Amino acid sequence: MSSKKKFTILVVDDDAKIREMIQAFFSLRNEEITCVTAADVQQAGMKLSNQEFDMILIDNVMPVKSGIDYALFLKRSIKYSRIPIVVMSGALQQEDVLKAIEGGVKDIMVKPFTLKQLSEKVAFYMKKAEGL
Amino acid sequence: MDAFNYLDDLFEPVVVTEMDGTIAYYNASFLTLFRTTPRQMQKQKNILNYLCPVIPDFAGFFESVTKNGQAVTPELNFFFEGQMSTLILKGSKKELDYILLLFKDMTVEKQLNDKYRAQMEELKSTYAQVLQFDKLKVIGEMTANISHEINNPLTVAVGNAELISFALEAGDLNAQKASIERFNNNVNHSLERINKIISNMKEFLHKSEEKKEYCDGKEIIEKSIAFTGPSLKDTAIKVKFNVLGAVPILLVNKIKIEQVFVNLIQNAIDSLKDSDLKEPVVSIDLTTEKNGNFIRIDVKDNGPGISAENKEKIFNAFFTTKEIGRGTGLGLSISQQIIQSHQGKLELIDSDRGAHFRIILPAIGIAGLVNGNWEKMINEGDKITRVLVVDNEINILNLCMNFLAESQYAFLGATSAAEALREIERTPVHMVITDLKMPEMDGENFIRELRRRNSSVPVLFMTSKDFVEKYKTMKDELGLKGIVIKPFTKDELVGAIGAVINE
Repeated sequence: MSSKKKFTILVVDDDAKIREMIQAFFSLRNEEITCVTAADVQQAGMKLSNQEFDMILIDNVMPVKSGIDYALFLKRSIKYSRIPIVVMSGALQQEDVLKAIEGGVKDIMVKPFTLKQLSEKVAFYMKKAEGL
Repeated sequence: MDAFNYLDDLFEPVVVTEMDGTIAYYNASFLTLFRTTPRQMQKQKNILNYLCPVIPDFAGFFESVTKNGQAVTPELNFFFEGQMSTLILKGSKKELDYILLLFKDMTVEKQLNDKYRAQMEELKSTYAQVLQFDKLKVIGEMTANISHEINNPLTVAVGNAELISFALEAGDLNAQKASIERFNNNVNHSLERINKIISNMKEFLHKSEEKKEYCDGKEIIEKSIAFTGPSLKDTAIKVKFNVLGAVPILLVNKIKIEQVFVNLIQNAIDSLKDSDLKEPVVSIDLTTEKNGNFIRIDVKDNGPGISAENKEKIFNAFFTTKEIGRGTGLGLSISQQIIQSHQGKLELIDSDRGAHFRIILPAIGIAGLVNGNWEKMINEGDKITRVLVVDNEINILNLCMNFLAESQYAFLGATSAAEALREIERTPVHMVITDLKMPEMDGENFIRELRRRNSSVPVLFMTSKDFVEKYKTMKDELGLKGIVIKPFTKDELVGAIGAVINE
C-alpha cells in the first residue's frame, strides 16, 4: 500500500516559532509526514535541490522575496512546477491573489489558521498524490 | 459753488456745508453713494436733515466738527434703501467757515474683508479635517501593519494550544511533559507579543493627547524605529541609532513625539527606497547638549537629499515630493507644530549628502517649568508655592506631577541632584522633596550641597520605611522638615507639603 510511503513537506517561514510549531505538530501526530524547514528562500532553494518534496508550505511576507513571488518562480521552473504549493498569509490584496492564481499558485491559507485546518489541507494533497 | 469745482473729479464723495449744515456743494460721487439726484438735493438743503436719519448720531458728529474744527468717525455701517454700506466720515472746518465732509466708502473693502475672513475660517476647518484625515490614514496604514504583526503570533498561539491538547491525548504524559511545557511557553510568549502590539496601538490612539509625562529618550526613539520596521522588509536599508553620552529624560507628550520620529524616519526610509546605493543608511543620534539645557536629535540619511528649491517649502502644509496617494504633505508641518508646542525646534540642516533633520527639545528642567504650571504661575505669580521633586525614577516623577497638578502647588521635577541644583539656581523654589537612593549624588549629599550653598529651603525626604532611622539621625543637622514614605497617596503628599508650608 502506498500509504506507508513517506510524505515530505518543505515549510518556509522567517518566523522560527511557526516553523517549530508545524514541525512539532507533524512529528507528534503523523509519522508518515516528514517536515523540513527553511527560514528564507535561499535556504528553501538549497533544500529543494538536495531532496524531493511532496508539498511546499510557504509564508508570504518574508525578507528578500515574498512567498507568492517565490511560488510563482517555482511554478515556472520545469523541475519544481508539479509540487503543490500552499501560501500562508494574512489578508491579501486582490491583485496579489489574482497574480498568484494566474501563475498557478492556487492554494492560500489565511493566517491565523489552526493546525487542524493545516492537517486537513495536507491530507488533501496526500490523497491527491496517492491517486496519481 | 464754483470755489469747490476742483472736488468734482474726486473719487471720494464730498459735501461742503455752511456752519448750520446748509449744503453748499456736493460732488457726483456723493450722489452715487447715497443713490440720490440733484433734484432731491434741491428739496433737502440741510445735510443734518439728510444724514441724521441714516448715520447714527450724525448731529453729534457735526457739532464736534463745528466746535473742534475736525472729527473722524469710526467705521460706520448703515442701511440705505435696503442695502448695507460701510463708510468712514471725516469732517473739517475750513477758513471760510465752511465744513468739508469727506466720505470714505468702505463697502467693497468690507465685503472683501468679510469674504476673506469667511474663506480663512473655511480653510482652517478644512485644514483641521485634513489633519484628522492624515491621522486616520496613519491609523489605516498601522492597522494593516499591525494585523500582519498579530497574525503570526496568533497562529503560533492557536497552534501551540492545539499541540498541548494533542500531547495530552497521547498516553504517556510524563514523556510529553517537556514538550507540553515548551508549547505552553510558546502560547504565553505569543500572547504577550500580541498584547504588546495592541497596547502600543492603544497608546498611539489614546485620547489624552495634550498630556506630557517623563519618559526615557532612548526608549521613545527605539519604539519609533520599531514602528517603521515593517517598511524595511524587502530592502537593504539599515537604521542606526546612537546615544551620545547619558540617556536623557524628556518631559513630552510621548505619543506625539513618537509620531514626529516615526515621520522623520519614515521619510528617510522612503527617500532611500528608490536609490541604488550600496549601503542605504538612516542614522539617528541622540545627544544632550553640554550645558544640559537641551536635547538634540539628529535624523540623517544618505539618500538623494532635498533640492535647494524645495528646502524652503518642505515645512509647508500640503507640500510633498512623494507620488500621489503616498503622502499628504502634512507630515513635516504637523511635526513642526508638535515640536513647537514642546518649546522645541525642528529644522533642516545643510548637508552635502542626504537629508539632515534636527530636533531640539528643552531638557526637563525647562520643560517642567512650562508644563501645566504656567497657568498657575501666570494667575498667581510669585504667590504660588513651587515644589521641586527630585527622583531618578521617572514613574515617581510622573506620579508626583499628577498628584500636584490638581493641588494648589506648582510642580517642578528633576531626575538627578545635579539637575535639581541647576534648576534651583534658575527658579527659586519653596520646597524640595528628594529621594535618598539616587545614582551619582544621593539625596543626603544633595541636601548637604544645598546647605553649603546657603539655601534654607525646607526639605522633605521621600523614601521607603527602611530609611526612617537614617532620617532621624540627619533631621536636625540638615534641617529636614519631614518624610514621605513610599508608597504614598495624593492626600499624603499634598498633606505633607501643606504641613511644612503652613508652619
